[in-house]
Amino acid sequence: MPLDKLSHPQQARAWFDNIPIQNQYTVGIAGEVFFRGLMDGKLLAAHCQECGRTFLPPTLYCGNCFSTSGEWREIVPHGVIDTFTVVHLDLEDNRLEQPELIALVRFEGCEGGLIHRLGEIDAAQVEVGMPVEVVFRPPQEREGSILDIAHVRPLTKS
Amino acid sequence: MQKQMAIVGVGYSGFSSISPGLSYKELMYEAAVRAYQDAGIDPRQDADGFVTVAEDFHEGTSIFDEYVPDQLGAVMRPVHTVTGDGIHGLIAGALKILSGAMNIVVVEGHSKASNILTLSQVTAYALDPIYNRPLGLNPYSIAGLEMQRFLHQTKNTVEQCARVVVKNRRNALNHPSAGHGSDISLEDVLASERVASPLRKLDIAPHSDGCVVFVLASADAARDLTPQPIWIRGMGWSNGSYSLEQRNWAHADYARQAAQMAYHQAGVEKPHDEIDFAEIDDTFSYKELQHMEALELCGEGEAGRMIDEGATQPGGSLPINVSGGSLGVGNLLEASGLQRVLEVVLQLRGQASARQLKNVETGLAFAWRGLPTASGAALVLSR
Ligand SMILES: [Zn+2]
Repeated sequence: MPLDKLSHPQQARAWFDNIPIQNQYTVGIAGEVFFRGLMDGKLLAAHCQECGRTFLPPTLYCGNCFSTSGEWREIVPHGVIDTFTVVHLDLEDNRLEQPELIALVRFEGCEGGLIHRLGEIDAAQVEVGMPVEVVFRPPQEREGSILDIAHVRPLTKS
Repeated sequence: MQKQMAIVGVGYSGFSSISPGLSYKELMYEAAVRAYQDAGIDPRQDADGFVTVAEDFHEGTSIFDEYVPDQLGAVMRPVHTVTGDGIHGLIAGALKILSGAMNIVVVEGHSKASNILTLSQVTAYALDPIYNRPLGLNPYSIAGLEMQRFLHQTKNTVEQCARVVVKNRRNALNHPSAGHGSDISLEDVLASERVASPLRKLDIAPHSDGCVVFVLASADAARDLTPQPIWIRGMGWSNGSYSLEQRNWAHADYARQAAQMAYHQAGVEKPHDEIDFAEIDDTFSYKELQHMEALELCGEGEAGRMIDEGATQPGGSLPINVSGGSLGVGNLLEASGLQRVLEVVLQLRGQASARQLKNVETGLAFAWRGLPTASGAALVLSR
């Protein structure tokens, strides 16, 4: 152990550094199916013919039985709120002027679901189990990303 | 497992919210010197191998494992670094002994969290880049989503979560090395800033800097080195889906599976009766309750009642996080699990000073790998 340690906080020197980090992320076979579906205003899930489970977001492989999924199924974009939160901090841990309402939505007959913004509702009105629907951006604004979904909102009776 | 390998040396440095006077290498060196002194070994002669745990993005250095040998006395020796919690690393070290390949193995984990200037950004970078990251959410949103679902399904309450914070922060007052001990009230917790509802600022374990080093030994080597080996009786770990969407948000399945694996090896059939005390993940207040249920220290939905009744207080029937846990000691990143093991070892040795529990034979340490993971590791230890 050292005999002479720093004896004053001002002696404690530090070096600062940062690097730019940029990546591209290949969406893959299942991702192509899913995002082309979003551009058409559809939610597409992967169905495993081996164990009969359906996964959203879709994957090429089944997380349950490890066989190739191989079949894509359109999901009715109506679900229920499994859980939700109101987030008050941004990515730099600064307080948001407008807190964000986020929900995990589950869809019937489907494992998984969708995490997205919840809109057109006051935070105080949100409950677990509430029926919601997916709102897509207008077709001309879609570019094949998860943000082609504008938000989810309480299910409007039609 | 019956007395096949043991922890024979412990050393640590920290645990404080900042450590401007020491580099991470010097924190490691301090802890290592103490561990080798405690075990009575010379690492250059006696240690057969070394395991460390680290994440490159937490260290701010690519290929970080190259930076660990020197300050541990491990240059030109067998070293490998695990990405995971410290208990994952400890298990990797123990398996080297169990395999018969090595007799004495050193395990290290550390946190220099105060050097990470954009930790939320780093944690958010662990989210799925295609399906989740485009939303640009602060990663505490994941804890908020999980806490909401856990409370909804189990009927535990935010008050009971706050009671965990009060207990652990107060426990830390009896731990001279804990970085965040304080005598706070339930009201303080419930009135703290909202972060990701229902999660509030004081529900979140603040970070600490520090390092923990263990010396592990085979049964024969352990008996030669110390009159007081602490035996590793069971080890388990489990990894859930990376996918936030595929995960079970109410129950910590990874904890249940890791514990069942460890209990089975240790011959523990009724955890609530056979585990004398536990140091378990409390990175967020609700996590202590969620993990108690998953680790079968109580039934589903009963964790809140246990904290209400004081059963998990130091004087209760099943003391939990007597050290102060992460809420009181501080979140030590990858070293968090090793701090939990450290407390179990000190308690079993009778070296826990003011917070020493009476008549403890068997302890459980459980670590969660933290946001955004669904992975954990468990260790059952006994005298
Ligand atoms: Zn399948």
